[in-house]
Amino acid sequence: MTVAAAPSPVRHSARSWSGVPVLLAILAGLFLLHIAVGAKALPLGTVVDAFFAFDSKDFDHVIVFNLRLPRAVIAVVVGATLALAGALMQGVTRNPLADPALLGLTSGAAFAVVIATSVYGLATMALLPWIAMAGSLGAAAIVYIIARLVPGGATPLSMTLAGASVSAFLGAVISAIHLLNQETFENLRVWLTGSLAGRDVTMLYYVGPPMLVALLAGILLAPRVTVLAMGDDVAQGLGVRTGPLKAQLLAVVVVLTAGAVALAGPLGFIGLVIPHVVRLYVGSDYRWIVPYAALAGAAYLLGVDIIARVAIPPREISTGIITAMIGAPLFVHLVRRRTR
Amino acid sequence: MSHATAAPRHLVLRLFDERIALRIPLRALITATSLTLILLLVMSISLATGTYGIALEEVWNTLRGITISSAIDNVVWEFRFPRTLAAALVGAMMALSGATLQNATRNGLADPSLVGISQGAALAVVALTVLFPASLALFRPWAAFFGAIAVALAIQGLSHTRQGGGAIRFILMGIGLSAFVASITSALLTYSEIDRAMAALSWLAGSINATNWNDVATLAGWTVILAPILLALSRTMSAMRFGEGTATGLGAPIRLANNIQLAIAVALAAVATSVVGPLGFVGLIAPHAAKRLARAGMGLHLILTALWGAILVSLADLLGRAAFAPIQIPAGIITAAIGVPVFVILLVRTRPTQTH
Amino acid sequence: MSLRTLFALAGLALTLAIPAFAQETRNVTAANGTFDIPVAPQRIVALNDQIIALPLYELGASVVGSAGRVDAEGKTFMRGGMDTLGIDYANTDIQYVGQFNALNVEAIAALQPDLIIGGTYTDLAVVDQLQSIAPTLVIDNGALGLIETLRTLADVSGQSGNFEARYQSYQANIERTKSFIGDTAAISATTTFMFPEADDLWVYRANLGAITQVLSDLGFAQPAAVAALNATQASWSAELIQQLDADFIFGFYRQQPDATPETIRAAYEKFAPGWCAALTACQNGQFVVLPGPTFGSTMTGLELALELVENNVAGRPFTPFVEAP
Repeated sequence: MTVAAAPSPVRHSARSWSGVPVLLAILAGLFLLHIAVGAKALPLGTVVDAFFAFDSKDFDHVIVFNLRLPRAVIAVVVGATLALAGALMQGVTRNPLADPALLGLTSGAAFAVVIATSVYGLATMALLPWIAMAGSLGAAAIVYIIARLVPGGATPLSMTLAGASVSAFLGAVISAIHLLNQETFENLRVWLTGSLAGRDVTMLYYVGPPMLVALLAGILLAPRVTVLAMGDDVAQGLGVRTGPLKAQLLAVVVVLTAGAVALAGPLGFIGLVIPHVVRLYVGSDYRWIVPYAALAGAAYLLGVDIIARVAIPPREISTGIITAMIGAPLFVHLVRRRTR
Repeated sequence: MSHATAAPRHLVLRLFDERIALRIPLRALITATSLTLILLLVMSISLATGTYGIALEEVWNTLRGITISSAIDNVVWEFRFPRTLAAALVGAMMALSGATLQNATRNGLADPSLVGISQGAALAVVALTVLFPASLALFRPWAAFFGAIAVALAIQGLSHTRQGGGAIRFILMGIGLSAFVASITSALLTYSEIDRAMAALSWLAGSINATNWNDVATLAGWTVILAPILLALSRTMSAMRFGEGTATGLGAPIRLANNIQLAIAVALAAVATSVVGPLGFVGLIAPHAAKRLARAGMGLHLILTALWGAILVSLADLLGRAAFAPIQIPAGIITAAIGVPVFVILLVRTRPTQTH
Repeated sequence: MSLRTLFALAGLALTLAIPAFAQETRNVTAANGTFDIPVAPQRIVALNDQIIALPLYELGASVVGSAGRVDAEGKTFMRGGMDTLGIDYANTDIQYVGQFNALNVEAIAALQPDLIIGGTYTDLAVVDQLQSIAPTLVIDNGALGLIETLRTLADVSGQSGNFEARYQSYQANIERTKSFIGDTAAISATTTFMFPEADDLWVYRANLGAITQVLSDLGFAQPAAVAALNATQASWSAELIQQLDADFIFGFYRQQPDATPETIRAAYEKFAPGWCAALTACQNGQFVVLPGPTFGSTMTGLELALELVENNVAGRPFTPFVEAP
């Protein structure tokens, strides 16, 4: 079907493009701020010099170019993909509380990575994204099967609960591994909270291409998600083949989530919170929600990571702890508003 | 169901001049008896199993009060017996908590560990262990109890609206709040000294390792207080199985019963968690398992559920210390590892149309 | 059971119990109260491998059981045992009694100990249970510091003589090293710890076992940012590593496949790209990774740490660190 044929439940369609430059400006601003501030206070001139007259012998330049810049890039990629994945999931499952972390995808990927690295001693980075993908796909399948089999079917509530129980189960196994093998706990305890510190940018070479494809596919599929979100019957009536579409969207979500986990560990609540905030401004048309969520998610994670880096020097807080601390209250707020 | 078909398969119990008349389905009664026997068997094996080699006969004699050696006396009376009893009691409490929570929220997937109760207790204990490592062990159960109650009250407060507290909201609030609370816990674990974090981690995994007679007394005392209230409420609870509308139509004081149920569910889970740490999935699985084995009235269903929970945790504790000896695995990890697959199988075998 | 077997068993139990009763006892005070303990304990169970079992063993105390760890293959081991003293469960009479945070009380009871020693990390509920087996002392090693912890362990195990002799020779060696170096207060050193995963960098002001003890006994200075720490350790932002620059920066490798000197050095570079270029200590070859026993809690660790520090600081020329203007 074509975009023009889609029914238009959009309230602000006339203004829909107008937000893009604003968001891009905010994103660019936060990106620059992320690079300009940090645990070490650097004069703006030094930051600019790092880009235009990079001197590998000047550690201040190294801080900007090798520590802050990759971290900012990873924050943008991870934030955008998780928010986009969350938006697609909310549309496909018609579940306003869907989120890659809440529905077990993130813990599935993390679980697979922990098993692969600590139990089987995997060290090849090239394989890691694929293992993460297998893990998150497996977890997604289990959550969906459980939710479907519960009396009443896959409602938002049963999906959320199934996701929570699968996450809790995987968490129990991970803590068993920790208890039995203290060395892995010491090695992985920061990673498991979701952290952007000390991330290997080279991972981006491996996960970047599939993530980019998935990102584009997500944006291209977005108009049809709007129809899907109105119900399978409506979608089929409008000529959308819902089965293949859902499979494609699932693939997109899994690739994006697994890539994000491989890059930054399990980060929660971004996929939940961002699409809701975006909806307040662009309405319920996924044609707009999806790209806006990607931009807003990137900006959000940049902002959170700035807080994580400057809040209590000389330490840094794990980014995932802050996203949960901000995201969980927002989730509570959403539940309060939506289930009155 | 019609009276004619039901009559032959029921046992009618009349007490107090027929003021209480119980019609007990025979199959459920048989199930309850077999479950009790299984529980006793598991507990006996548990009493006879341990690193300290004691022959079955010696265990039996020690329990009869014959002293073989002071060391054996000590091991049997001070370590094994309280541990075995605590495992069964904790299992029963978590199972009852889960059943009550599922009934009050009308959601078959509710479990104390999913709705923030365990996480509240966990945060309090981790904070105590990590921030005040020299604090008395005495404080830990209280910290866990108040942590659990505080989170439960917060959930209750947040999910309350002018129309009363919605059951769905309660669960979703629980998930949201537990994620929040868990993030603080993991911050504490990540940024504290590794030994302190590891010490907290063993409690977090749910271990019955160090229970003594005081713990057993605490668990038994609360069970004796709370379980009869649940049984007394069972008639209202069974009305609520059919949904709030029906229950109100049947004249059940819904809101009050609901609040009492949630309070009891929280109290049971909080006490159990305060003694052994968070034990996931027992509350989720036991009620489902009880339902699959025998259809019964609410009262008997609760008893079956408690028996299931007791068996599950006793077995988990036994497996945890015997299966991989000398390495001991906390019961909480075993309950999760065997509990979740069992749960999925149970769900798969349910036809979506069959509600109860 | 027949009456005869019963008597036989009772007799056996009595003979086993006699040594415990026959022992002379004395009064000692630990972090958890005052206890009557044997003057010369014959069967000690340690509730921590690295902090308690190893120092007791090297001082000649009779350790019959110790908490330990489990490796990735499910094999039990005492952390630091092989690399510090060459001992493990396999080549000593020490039995495994659980992990320090998951102790097996029955395994401890089966060893019939006459003294049990744990720390503030030991679950207090377990300590209470263990009191019914044998007096169980809690040693607060964080508050005591390494030397007083070792002295206390030696005292309660009846090995004070051994400890004082070894400690005296350690002190003499400290003085000798100082005389080689000269003005030790003019030399600064930073103690860092990096895990192979390279997620975060820990910096220790004090209490990292033998190494921080040796550095402070020698009278070395610390960078201002480290000396100003309130806690004994902190995780450090990669951006601020230049605050750690000093004459010497120490890190640690261990006897495990993923923590070799090479992987640990690589982890520093991964955590903070340009680590070596940014720190004069590293540029001048004065970023030194030391073997695991040097951050352990034994006399052997103290002696080894002292020798290695002496060798690095006095045994070769080094370039002094000049604070940037």
